Amino acid sequence: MTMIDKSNWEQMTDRDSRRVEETPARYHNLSPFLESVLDSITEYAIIAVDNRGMIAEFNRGAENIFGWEKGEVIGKHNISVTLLPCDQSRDVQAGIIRRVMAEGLCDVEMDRLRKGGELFPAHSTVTAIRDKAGKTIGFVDIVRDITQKRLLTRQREALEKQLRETKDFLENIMESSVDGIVTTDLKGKITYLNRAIAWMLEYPKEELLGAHISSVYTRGIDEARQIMTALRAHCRVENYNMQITSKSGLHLHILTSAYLLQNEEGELIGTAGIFKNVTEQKRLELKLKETQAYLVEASKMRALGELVAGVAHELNNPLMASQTLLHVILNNLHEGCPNRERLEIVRKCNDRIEKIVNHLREFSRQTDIHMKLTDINYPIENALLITSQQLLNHNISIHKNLPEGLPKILGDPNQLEQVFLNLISNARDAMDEVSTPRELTITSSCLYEDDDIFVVASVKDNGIGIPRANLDKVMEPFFTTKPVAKGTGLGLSLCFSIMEAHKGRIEINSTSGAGTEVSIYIPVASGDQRGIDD
Amino acid sequence: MTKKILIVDDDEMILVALKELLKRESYEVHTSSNGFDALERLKNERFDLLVLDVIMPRMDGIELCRRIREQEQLNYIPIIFLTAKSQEEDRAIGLGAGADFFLSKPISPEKLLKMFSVAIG
Repeated sequence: MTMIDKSNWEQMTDRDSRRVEETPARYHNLSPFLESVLDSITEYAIIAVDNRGMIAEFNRGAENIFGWEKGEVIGKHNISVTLLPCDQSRDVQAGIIRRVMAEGLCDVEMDRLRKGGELFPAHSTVTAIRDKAGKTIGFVDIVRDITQKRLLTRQREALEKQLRETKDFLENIMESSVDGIVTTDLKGKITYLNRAIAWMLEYPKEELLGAHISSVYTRGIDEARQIMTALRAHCRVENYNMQITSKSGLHLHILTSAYLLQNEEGELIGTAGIFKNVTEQKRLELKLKETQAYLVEASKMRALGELVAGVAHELNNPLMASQTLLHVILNNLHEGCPNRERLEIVRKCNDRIEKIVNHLREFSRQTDIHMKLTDINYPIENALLITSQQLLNHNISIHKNLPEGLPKILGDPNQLEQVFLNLISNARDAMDEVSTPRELTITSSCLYEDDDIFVVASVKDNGIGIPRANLDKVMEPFFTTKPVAKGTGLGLSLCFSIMEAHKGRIEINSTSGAGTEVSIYIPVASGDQRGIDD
Repeated sequence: MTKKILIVDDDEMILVALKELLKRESYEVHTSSNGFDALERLKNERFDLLVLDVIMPRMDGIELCRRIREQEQLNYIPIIFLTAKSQEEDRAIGLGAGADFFLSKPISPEKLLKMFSVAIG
């Protein structure tokens, strides 16, 4: 290889190397070595140019990329032969050179030109070649064809866009779901929650992210454990009933479906749950049930009323015949007949039957409310009339304190009687299990409260009393502690609604183990304050 | 002159009892157990008082009362309903059909006798 044949690049290298490589032998070995190094770089074009841009070196990589033979370009073509016509103006090259001079190198992505005129995207790094004195004697342009890279980038970008769109789409669905959606990690920490669940719980999302899922469960960690156990056993849980508690303390009924989350390798990474708020549904169902039960009860009462009315009616004829004949017989008896006394007792029996029949008839007719001026003692006495025998059978002694001349109230005697029947029957049941002498005390009185005057009637027993925990529940419809078929749980709630119709109220005082006193307060009818004024 | 009373009731016991009661009061008591029979009797006999039950088979007391009142020559007879019915509506219907009194069973014999004497005048 002569010096003539050597490319300019080698000559430059020669010059630079000469000082370093002190022995010609070593230089002799280095030059072909460098050449082979350059040519082994096939994926990168390495092009050296002189100060004017004339190509001085062109490696195998450059041949591959640009399509020119080494011999075609070295010393024959300017570097601009690899540039687009529009970039061939000195400005682009001058700009690159300026940056090389200022920053030592210039990295740039631009389109380049192959021999055949084909464009390709390229990345090029331009550095300066300096002599020993530091004078710039040329430039090296290292070029890489980035067509493939561009393609990959574009594919990646398209893929990313698609992923983003899918993510947005799914997130949109999750966010607009009316059901709550929550995911947690394996420890139970919330990793995602949608708008619906944040709204249900009345928390801002950020406050719940990272919180433990059990903190929203009404039953707390026990609930979380129960769900997790079921998940581990069956992988999914469907229509699981539970309650969650909102920030303001509302308990929401939730129907949950939950499942385990796995990654692509099949490892468990957490759980996901869908929370359907069924609170309103539950409330309506309960109300419907109550209404149904009430209707059943009401229709039972109606049927009973009709039956009672029919029986009472049928009893009247024989009762009248009996009374009339008795009257005749009594009139016919001679003075001092020993049977007179016996027949008098029969007459009293008839009187009592008549009273009960009359009462049953009234009781059966209580569908409409007929308000009239009423002495509270009247319905009380009527209720006792029906129940006194039963109370005696239960070994209950009755104490009455029903003063005459109380101011009248505006009320429906039948409905009020129903109230006292219920209260008396509750008192009787409460005393069923006590061994001390059983006492029922019924009192009526008059009470001034602020500017209002009330008639108060109370039914007091010394039975088992009502546990404190049940006190605020006893008025609820269907609340009962009595055995099935013994109580409907409607008694006190019926009393309550009757009291409401009378603009009155019910108060219950009870000590567990000592007894209960239920008092009803009914305002005195305006215009009848006789009892007070007297 | 002895006053004649016709009692119409399908309940035999009521008829027996009332007969016993009224006999001592020197009333002449006749009984009938249904409306058709009563109407037949009224064609031929003159009564001073009619006592009618309301609920009777085939023709009830209300219907009987109306038919009697339709006949001008029977308009003079006072009519008392004596019935196991006791509601206000029943009373209104009874009096509307042309009866003079509406009494509910059971009623004390004393009161019944008093009402009879008032009705007969």
